[in-house]
Amino acid sequence: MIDVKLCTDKLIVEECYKKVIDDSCGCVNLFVGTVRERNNNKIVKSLEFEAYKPMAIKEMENIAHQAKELWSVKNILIYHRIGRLRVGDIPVVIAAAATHRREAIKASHFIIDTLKHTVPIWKKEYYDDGSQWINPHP
Amino acid sequence: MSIRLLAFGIAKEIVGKSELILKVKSSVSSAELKQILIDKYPTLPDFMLAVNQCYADDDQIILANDTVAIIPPTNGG
Repeated sequence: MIDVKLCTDKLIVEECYKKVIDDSCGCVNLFVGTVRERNNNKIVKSLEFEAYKPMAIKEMENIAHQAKELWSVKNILIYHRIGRLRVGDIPVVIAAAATHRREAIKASHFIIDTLKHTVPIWKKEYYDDGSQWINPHP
Repeated sequence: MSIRLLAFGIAKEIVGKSELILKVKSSVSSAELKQILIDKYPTLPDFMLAVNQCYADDDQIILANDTVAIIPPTNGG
């Protein structure tokens, strides 16, 4: 199973976990991103995530399919939140269920690293004194 | 011909809007369109082009009615 989603609602880790568990699997590896309060020595008040939605969904599906080709993983879930988020909120959850742990861990690692580079989602940080789009490769 | 162009993130701010129509000569390649955009908006950061929601190779020919998106460096997760 592959389940990808972009949403403005709060992401619930427990719900993501429940979607991928399977009796044939021995583990679920979860990656949960959280908004941190400090970046480049500036205090972040909130973040805004913008997406090119139809392409982002396609790219998330591509990554999940690639992960399934590379590792023996039963179920993959990739949920990303868009819109305004505050410190401590969860922008992304990745869940991979597999028979054995190594496959699940490697698949999750691959998915989050690839997502950052290929999925068209952008982050703007808001501070007390302004805001800026964050360039990951300045 | 006219190309529908979408801009996101920092590119949207530099271009000044999220969607515009760009007039170009026929048979423009992705690399040529990129150069046109760099000339027109010199402050754009390094970016890729997506054609109809897929990343485009440099030699891909843009056709009328294609939707092209300016994809600045992504930053999800």
